[in-house]
Amino acid sequence: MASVGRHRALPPVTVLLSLLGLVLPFVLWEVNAQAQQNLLVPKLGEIVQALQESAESGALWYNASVTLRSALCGLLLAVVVGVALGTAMAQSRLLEAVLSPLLGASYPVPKLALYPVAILIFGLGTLPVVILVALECMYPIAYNTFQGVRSTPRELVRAAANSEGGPLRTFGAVHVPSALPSVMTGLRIAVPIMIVVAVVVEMLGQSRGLGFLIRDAGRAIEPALALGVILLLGVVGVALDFLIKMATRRLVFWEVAPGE
Amino acid sequence: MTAALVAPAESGRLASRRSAAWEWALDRQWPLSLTALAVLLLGWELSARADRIPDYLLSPWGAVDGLHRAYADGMLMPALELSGYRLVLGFLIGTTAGVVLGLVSGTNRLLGSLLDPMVSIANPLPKIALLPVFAVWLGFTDLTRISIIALGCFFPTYLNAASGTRLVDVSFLRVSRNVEASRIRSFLHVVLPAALPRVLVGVRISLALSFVVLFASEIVVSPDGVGGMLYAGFLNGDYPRMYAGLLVLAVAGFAADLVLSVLARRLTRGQSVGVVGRG
Amino acid sequence: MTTLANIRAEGTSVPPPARNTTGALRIEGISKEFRRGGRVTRALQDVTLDVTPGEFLCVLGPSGCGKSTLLHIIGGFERASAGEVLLDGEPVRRPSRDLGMVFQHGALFPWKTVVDNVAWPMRAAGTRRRAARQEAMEYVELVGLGGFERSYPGELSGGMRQRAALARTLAMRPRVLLMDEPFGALDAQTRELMQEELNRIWNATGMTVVFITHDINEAVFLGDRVVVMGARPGRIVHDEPVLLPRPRTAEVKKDVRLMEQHNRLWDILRAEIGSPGRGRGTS
Repeated sequence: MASVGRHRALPPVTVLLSLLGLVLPFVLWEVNAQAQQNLLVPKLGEIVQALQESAESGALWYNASVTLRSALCGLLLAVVVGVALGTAMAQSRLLEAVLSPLLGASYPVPKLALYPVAILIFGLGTLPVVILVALECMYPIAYNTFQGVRSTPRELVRAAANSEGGPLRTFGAVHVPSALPSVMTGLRIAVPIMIVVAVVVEMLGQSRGLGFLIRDAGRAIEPALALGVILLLGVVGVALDFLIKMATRRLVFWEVAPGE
Repeated sequence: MTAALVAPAESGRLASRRSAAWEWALDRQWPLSLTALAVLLLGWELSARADRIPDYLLSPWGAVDGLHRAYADGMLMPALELSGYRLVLGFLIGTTAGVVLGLVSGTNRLLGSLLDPMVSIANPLPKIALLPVFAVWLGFTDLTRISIIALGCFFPTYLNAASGTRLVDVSFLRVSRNVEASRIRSFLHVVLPAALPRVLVGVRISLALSFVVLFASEIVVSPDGVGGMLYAGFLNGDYPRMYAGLLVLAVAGFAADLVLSVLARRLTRGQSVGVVGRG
Repeated sequence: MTTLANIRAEGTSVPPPARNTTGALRIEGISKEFRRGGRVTRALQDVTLDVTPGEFLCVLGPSGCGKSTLLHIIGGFERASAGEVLLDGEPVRRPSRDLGMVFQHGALFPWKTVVDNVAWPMRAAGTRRRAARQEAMEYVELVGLGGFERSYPGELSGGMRQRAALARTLAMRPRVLLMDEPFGALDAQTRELMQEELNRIWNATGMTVVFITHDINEAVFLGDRVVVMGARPGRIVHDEPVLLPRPRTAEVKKDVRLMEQHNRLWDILRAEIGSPGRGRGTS
């Protein structure tokens, strides 16, 4: 209703400006770096070189694998707990009444501050990282699962019940597919969080991982490596988001994208 | 159709034996939530007293006591001031820049096509990860901390302000064109109020984020302030001090968000995010 | 031009004199194409229409026949691919206060109260807030929303929202009123009430109206003339005057002539709906 007339072709000016916007930060950075000729402001080439050296020495891959493992374990834990919580909350008004305000109130509380406590409880390995990642990622997953299960259209549930499936079968046949888009949305929100939280926690006090690598590079006055890793993280984040989008489209194949 | 064939969600709601008071409690939610929380805290407190939990996990009372001691020691107030100053400054700079640029980007197509790609590339980069780099450039100072906090706050506000502005219902804009309203008037009376709910969502996100960044900055860049107090307590085994810091951060984060959400509700009377063109 | 003095002189069976000199519309050869990907959709094809000043024209058609697009082009909100629209001889190139549009869902600003919504045209013209509100109150009373001026649109029912939207558009003092299925989202009873209200208001103001609907009874009750549009491509397939006498009251709905005209138009419309061209056009 409100979209007629908006399908004007993009004038070439905006396309040009978009390209400029993409390229400009890098250009400005390089110009500044060349002008400064200072080790502290690494040129783009130096950043790439630092990454290469780290890759060759194996440090990059080792730390990346540590981070990835912690992040994925944390995500897995978050999915298990989050989906369970979200589903339970959608099925039980009591649970919803008890948990919903608590989850809402605890959202603005910086969970990162629990890192020292996590170390005390779980020791100095990578477990605190996993726990904190799980804690942060649980929120969007639980919330979206809750919304997804709760918004299962009544007619679908009744139609399924009509064919005498029993509650568990109904759940699998109706609630799960109906809630799937929302769960995937929660997952899509959680994935960038998982990477960022893992890296940040590592940066605070871990002895391994990409976060540790960044802090170590900073301590050794090697901003080129630190920046390189950060850029790498950005690329990884974009790639993961793309993967999730593809996965969503495959799994939720019955939804027509808007405009089709 | 028997009850067994009806999905669990429905059977819970069909039970009509609930009294009116119970219904009210379920509806409002917070009475049950607070009760559960109180029970949990009580159980925790009792376990602590009975020496059933490790000594690094203080009881709720122990945490409050630690807070009191920190205050009495004269450690709390300076730490609060320091952290508060950093947080407020970083938050204000970051969100103001984000809102202003986001609004501009949303209304002006040319500037939007220039700014959006830049922000979109930088968005996936974890800004906290820049702390060590900024420390190298700007030193272990407040400038570093505040810059990173501001950077962290900028992105959610920019993105939400820009999208909020672009998603203004076309009908509203057409009404504005119909009365031949000037661009300024149209912006102030139509675009801005319509985009406000989304803008405020971005501000709330960046508020929560600012606490996280503050804490990280106070650990990575020479510990002081509330986060530093927490960390120092942790390193020295002074657990009451650690929990005092944790309590302050938790309460401050919760309170700030509460204030903002009340403010947001007042400012966006009659609207809700995502509700567009309801008949 | 409508003035409030005229509006207050309602209830007479004699049309107010000498004000139907403006609001003549000439729609000439309007065509509209949409290009999406490689496909070209013909929303409107060669629509030509004349509307005399003070005429209440109803445009009837099935969903997807482009009638909403046509209205937006008349109002200057969209540009036609070919043809032009002339208001009193002047071409319409952009939206203006002369062509007031009442949008399908009202499009009231949810952050403003009713009176502030209705006052918006005055404020946009630079009038100060208090004076604008005073003037707006007269229109608020006119549409029967007195007492609700401080309410927000979210607190009102659908019918009340449409009244407020109408008041806002009238406050623009347009030469022509363009209405895009304004009662489509209302329940049957409210719709009938609103039709009678609109009739009453129009009797007093006598402005030119182009009214879009898919409801035949509504078209015949309200209009001086009914134009039927077909779909895909949108074009005029039929044009006939409504022979019921003016002024019209609710009694008219029981008139046999209304039923006859309804049946005739229904047959025409049904032929259009059944035609293979109906489908994903734009409306």
